[in-house]
Amino acid sequence: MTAKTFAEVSVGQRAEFETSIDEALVDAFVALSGDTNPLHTDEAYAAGTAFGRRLPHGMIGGALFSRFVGVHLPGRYSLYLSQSLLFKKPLPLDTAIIVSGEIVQKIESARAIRMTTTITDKSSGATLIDGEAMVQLLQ
Amino acid sequence: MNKLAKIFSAVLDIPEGDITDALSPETASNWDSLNAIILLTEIEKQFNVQFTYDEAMGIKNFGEAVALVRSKGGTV
Repeated sequence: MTAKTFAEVSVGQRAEFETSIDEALVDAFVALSGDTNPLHTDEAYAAGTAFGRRLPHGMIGGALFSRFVGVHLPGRYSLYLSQSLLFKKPLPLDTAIIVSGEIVQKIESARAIRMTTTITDKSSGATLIDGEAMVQLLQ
Repeated sequence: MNKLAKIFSAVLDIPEGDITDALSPETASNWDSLNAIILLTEIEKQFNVQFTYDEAMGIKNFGEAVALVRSKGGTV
């Protein structure tokens, strides 16, 4: 786990990690959230939609941003204040994705940072989800 | 104190007429952690002043924000 203090973060710093979403993770998110919408849970229903197969919940991307902020940048001393999400394309199943973020503003008086956060498809580079996070640092 | 009151009114979504020196996070439900940071950044930008972390965290109500901006040379 990264443990950057407010003094150690600066505008332009970025980080990323690679991951993928499998059906077991989608099922775990169904259990966590209670979102049983058939687009995420019913392969037959999903096959009849424009997507052709069941899709991960977009909010799994939100959870991945939580992991990014809490573990990668800034990590240990972060206090998550806000996160916006724009779902640009569906998250794919069993496909490598890159979760990344970059610090775009450092607010000295609040010991806070503003970051852009993005999830991209590793092979195509397409942006799947983007947004902005506001994070305060406890040290 | 119109300029500062306008910032607080816009960020906290409360009428300017309701803003008194006693306005605080305890009396304004929208004055939460995130809006506190938005208030600081808006005040710093519009008054062209810079607060230290200790100064900013010392603001307990609107009256103290007025005093702090004035101490930095700002005309509220």
